[in-house]
Amino acid sequence: MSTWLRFRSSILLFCLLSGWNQGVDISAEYIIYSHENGYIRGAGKVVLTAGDYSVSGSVLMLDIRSMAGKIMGSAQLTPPGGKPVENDEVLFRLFPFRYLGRSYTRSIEYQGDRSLDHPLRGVELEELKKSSLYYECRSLTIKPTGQIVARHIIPYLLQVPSLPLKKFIIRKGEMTGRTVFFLENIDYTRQYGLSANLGFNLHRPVLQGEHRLKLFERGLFGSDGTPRGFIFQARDSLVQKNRDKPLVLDSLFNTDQGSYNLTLTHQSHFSGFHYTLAHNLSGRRGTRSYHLLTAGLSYRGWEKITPRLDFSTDYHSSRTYRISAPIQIIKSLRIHPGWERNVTGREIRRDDTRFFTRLDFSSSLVSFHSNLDITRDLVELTSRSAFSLQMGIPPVKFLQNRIRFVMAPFYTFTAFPGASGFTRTSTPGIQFSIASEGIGLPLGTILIPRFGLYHLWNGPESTKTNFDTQLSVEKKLGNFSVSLDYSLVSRFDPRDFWVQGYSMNHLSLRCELKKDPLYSLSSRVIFNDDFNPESITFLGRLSLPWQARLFASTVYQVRETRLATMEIYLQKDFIGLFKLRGGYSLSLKRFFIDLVQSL
Amino acid sequence: MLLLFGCGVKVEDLPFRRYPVISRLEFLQDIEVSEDRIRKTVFPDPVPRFPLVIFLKLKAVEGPGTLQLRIYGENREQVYARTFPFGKPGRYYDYIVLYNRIEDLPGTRFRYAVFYNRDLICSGSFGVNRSVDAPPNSARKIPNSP
Repeated sequence: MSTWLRFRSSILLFCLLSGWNQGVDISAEYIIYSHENGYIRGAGKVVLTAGDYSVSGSVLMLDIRSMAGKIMGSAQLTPPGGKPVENDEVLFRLFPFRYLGRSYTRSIEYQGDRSLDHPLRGVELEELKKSSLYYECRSLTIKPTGQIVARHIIPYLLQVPSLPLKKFIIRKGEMTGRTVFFLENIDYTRQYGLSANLGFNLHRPVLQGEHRLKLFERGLFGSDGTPRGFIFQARDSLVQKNRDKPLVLDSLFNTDQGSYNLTLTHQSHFSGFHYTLAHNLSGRRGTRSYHLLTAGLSYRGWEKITPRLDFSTDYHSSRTYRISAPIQIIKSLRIHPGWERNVTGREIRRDDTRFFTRLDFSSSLVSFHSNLDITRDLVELTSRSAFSLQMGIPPVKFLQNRIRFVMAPFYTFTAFPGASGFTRTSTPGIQFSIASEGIGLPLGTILIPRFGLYHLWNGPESTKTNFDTQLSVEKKLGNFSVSLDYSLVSRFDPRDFWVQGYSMNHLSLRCELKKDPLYSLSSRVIFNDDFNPESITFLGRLSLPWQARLFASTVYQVRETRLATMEIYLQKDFIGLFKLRGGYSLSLKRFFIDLVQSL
Repeated sequence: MLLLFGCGVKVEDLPFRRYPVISRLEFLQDIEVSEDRIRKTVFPDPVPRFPLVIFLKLKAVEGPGTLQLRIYGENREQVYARTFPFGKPGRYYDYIVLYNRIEDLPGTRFRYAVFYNRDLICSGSFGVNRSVDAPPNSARKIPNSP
């Protein structure tokens, strides 16, 4: 109880410090706010007070994202020092307050700022009540930062009412430059079960930090894994007057995995030089702690080239040196050459020196990306090299974009030491594909052809060509649709005087009777290479009263004349989060009832 | 007076919705109403065409009342108005369904306003498609639960 009192006192103190009385006050018999939708609706004796303005009515709609809304139903606007004016509705925008009165008589009459005469985003009451977290309250204050403080509140967690509160910050609003503690959300996921996500942002002249704490509970729901725990993530920085952050601490504590990771970074600059010095400490349950020191120095005084030197060590036998220099020759052409040396030597000793370069060129017509990588193993005294080049050409479209043609040539080269000597592979290739939206045939039938070609030249001995052809014929008759799909996959591999290859046919017939959301019945017959039926599948769904549904599925193997699987079950959804299922499964060979999470 | 345990809130201070609200407003191509179900035919195109049916659902209504539908054209002049009385004294209705067929109105852009008794409860705007090239109004029927 004392913790709760301290928490309430801290909220009150915070509210006093940050200017409680600023902002817009709204009261009504009923107000609902959903953070997911960023929307407020109110009903019954609605009163909005913005500075010296006051608007009253019977229905309120307010879009928090745009801070625009309207009050309807004999809406009465009282301007500062003026007499009340009655309209059918008053449209308004907050911060600063502007309004437009609208009356529906023989014609629509306006009064006020006509620039507000735009459609307002509308979210229905039912939609707001589908949120995993929403609040019903009697009054609230919206501050210019977007923060919302509500009074006489019932929070609804997963659509279940929870403990009523007298006063609570239900929206944290703009957090830049503020010290604020907040509840981000409460949700249920398959990974963590029920979890509450809290945040604390610290903003002081010399210290800034962002902290997130996830508290999770799996044990209550019988889920696998650690029954309960927390994940804490934070970044704290020392801040100088010129907004530089010379010292940054990143931390992560995860009781689910029993791990931690701490990194302390110092960075600064002088006369064009930028340097970084970081120490990382990490560990996991059952393993030893690991230390890593990283240092980097770069010079940013030149426009076209940025040389950089990096070094890292684990304080034992592993270390890495790296020199690189990205060069921007022209705007569309970049070269990134570099060299690095990796030395590791605890269990297995390795010592590699590596030269690498990357070239990127892009224009509106064509783009090139090339990589060259040469590595020398200084222990075994062997070398490896790899080169690749990809060319990108924009897709070509014909007949009002109904036909799309794509061509992508590429080249790769690798050389590496193998068991039987040095191996070199040189592989140019090209990929074509052509696809169309379909051709209309008589009787409302649509024919959709697709064609793809993939050719690889792996030297004169190994050249491969693949052809993928697909042809679909579709016909729809009201709720019934039928389609026949045929695909031919051919692989060709020329060897000396002959071409070795094979083709695979695939034919399937699909029938579907569908009327969303009432029912859906579909059946598919799959034929083998010789066009004999191989399997028949059936899927069915039927909506029942009380949001229940009946599902059935079977797979019948024609050649083996047996049912491979069959399932029939009833399913009931609960608030979109859980499903209760019960029925019979042939593969499990039993009747079953289970509660699963909705995906 | 009941002070809810530990939170300092009186029951009478808590929000409980008791006010009518329009939960749905749709523009339909056609509607068939039988004793136990409503069969709605929606437009195949997002933009409706004349003739159309305005369909709305008013929730949580007590006693008798009137719903009034007013439609205004592009020049802000009223082009349509109709009043629908409903309900009996002392009766509570979970919801009331209103549907009204409109054959044609001048113009393509409209603003509508729905009044419950004398209070505006819902307003908005809609456009209609009058182009000859628009897709035909092929029927797509969605039956409602009873």
